[in-house]
Amino acid sequence: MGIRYLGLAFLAAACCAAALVFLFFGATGAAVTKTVSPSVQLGSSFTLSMNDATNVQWGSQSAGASLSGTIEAQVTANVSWALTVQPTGGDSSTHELSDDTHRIAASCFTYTSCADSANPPPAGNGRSTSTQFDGDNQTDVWTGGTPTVGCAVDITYVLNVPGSQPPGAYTTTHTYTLAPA
Amino acid sequence: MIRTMAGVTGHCPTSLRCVSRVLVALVAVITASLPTSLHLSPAAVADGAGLKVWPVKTEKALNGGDAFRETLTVQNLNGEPLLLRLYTMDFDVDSQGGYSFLEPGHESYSCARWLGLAETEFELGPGEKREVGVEISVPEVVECGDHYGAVLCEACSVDGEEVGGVGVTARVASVFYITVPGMGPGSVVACAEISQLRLPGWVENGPVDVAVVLSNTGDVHVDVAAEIAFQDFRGRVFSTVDLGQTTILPGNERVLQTTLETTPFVGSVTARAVIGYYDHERELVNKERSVRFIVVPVKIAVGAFVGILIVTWLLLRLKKKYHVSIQRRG
Repeated sequence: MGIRYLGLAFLAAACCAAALVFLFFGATGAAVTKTVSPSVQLGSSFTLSMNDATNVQWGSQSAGASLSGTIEAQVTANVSWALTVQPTGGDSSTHELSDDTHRIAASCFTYTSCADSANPPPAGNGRSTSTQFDGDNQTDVWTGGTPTVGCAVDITYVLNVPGSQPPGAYTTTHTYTLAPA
Repeated sequence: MIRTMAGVTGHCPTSLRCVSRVLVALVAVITASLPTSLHLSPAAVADGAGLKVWPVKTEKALNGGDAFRETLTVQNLNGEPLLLRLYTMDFDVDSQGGYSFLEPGHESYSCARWLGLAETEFELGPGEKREVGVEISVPEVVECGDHYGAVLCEACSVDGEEVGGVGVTARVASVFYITVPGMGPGSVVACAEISQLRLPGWVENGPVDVAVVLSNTGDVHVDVAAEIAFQDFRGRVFSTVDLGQTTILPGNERVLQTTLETTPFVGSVTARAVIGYYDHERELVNKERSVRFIVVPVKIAVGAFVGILIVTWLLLRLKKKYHVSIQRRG
């Protein structure tokens, strides 16, 4: 009699164990293969950051002064790019540095551009020779740029204030444009 | 005038020295009252303006009367709020890849007036981004071929100071190329050529400046990828330069420049430029052009020649001095 109950108890325990195994691991055996296909559509994008104009905070200067300073354009792009500049403020017609009455001739204000040494160098070319800002047209700062992350272009300003320049607060705005090449 | 000034001072009116002192003092007072220096501190309108824009290039084939909506996303990566201004312009690209932007409708191929912006000015907080709808509406009657324009996203500082000097602003151009296919097959043609491969005829050594001139001979814009390979006299490729990918507008040229840093010591070098683009039937087209140049190390050759001359002269002198002669054995 005892042996019979013992056998039934074993059988019940085995069934419970099997049920538990099926419960926890049964799905493994019956697994259906699923596939996941991640996809993403990447668009072309640009990031432009004009950094630190402190180097061209020339403050009050005397006529005849020769001033220089550097600003940095930081570019991240996943397509080819070009960076240009055009004066958009200052004198209403020529966009030269102006105090509303007088203006500093465009020939006195030039720039050069080169790759910044502290950042990944961009592919392409800058302006190694002194270039005037053109109030009517974009002038190249960097051409032939290729996809890049955080590369930087240094733009060095040189302003030679004529000795006869009348006193005044001279202003202009330089607009830097990043465009796909 | 002197009298008046003398009268003002009221001292020694007859002394010329006194008058001159008074004049100097007056000039000094007048000069001090005027600004003597130029004020050139910059406005820093958008100093450090980190501006992200995507997509920056949209290409679409649309028929006359069609409309399409594109979404531009603009993000302020700056730590300060930015005022964003969006506007449309025509553009042109020169052979060096330099842009010029013009008022909408200035160019005959312009599509700038077809682009309608849902918003033209808004403020973005630090890190904030915004999607701006661009509605492209092609007129019913339109010339087939390529039409293009740009949406410019310009960043301005919200609390821009009104001070004198050079202000710097950043803007990003998102360009739109709209192709109107026309009525039948072959009504638009996408075609590019390597019109020139500029290299010197001979060089002493590297670096060698290389320019590949590409021209778009079709009537729609073409995206061209270019590469140049250099082979030595044995036909072995010793250098390959990827010239990247560029978009050339119809009728325009583009100059891609590179530099071959090192050359073989001597011999002929063949530069082989290859371009690839998709034509109007979306078929991949490859074209190539080769130019040969010679590497002649002139300085080394002249040096070697002079060296041989000197050694020969020395040998002749030694022979003469010591009566050395070469005799055949036996």
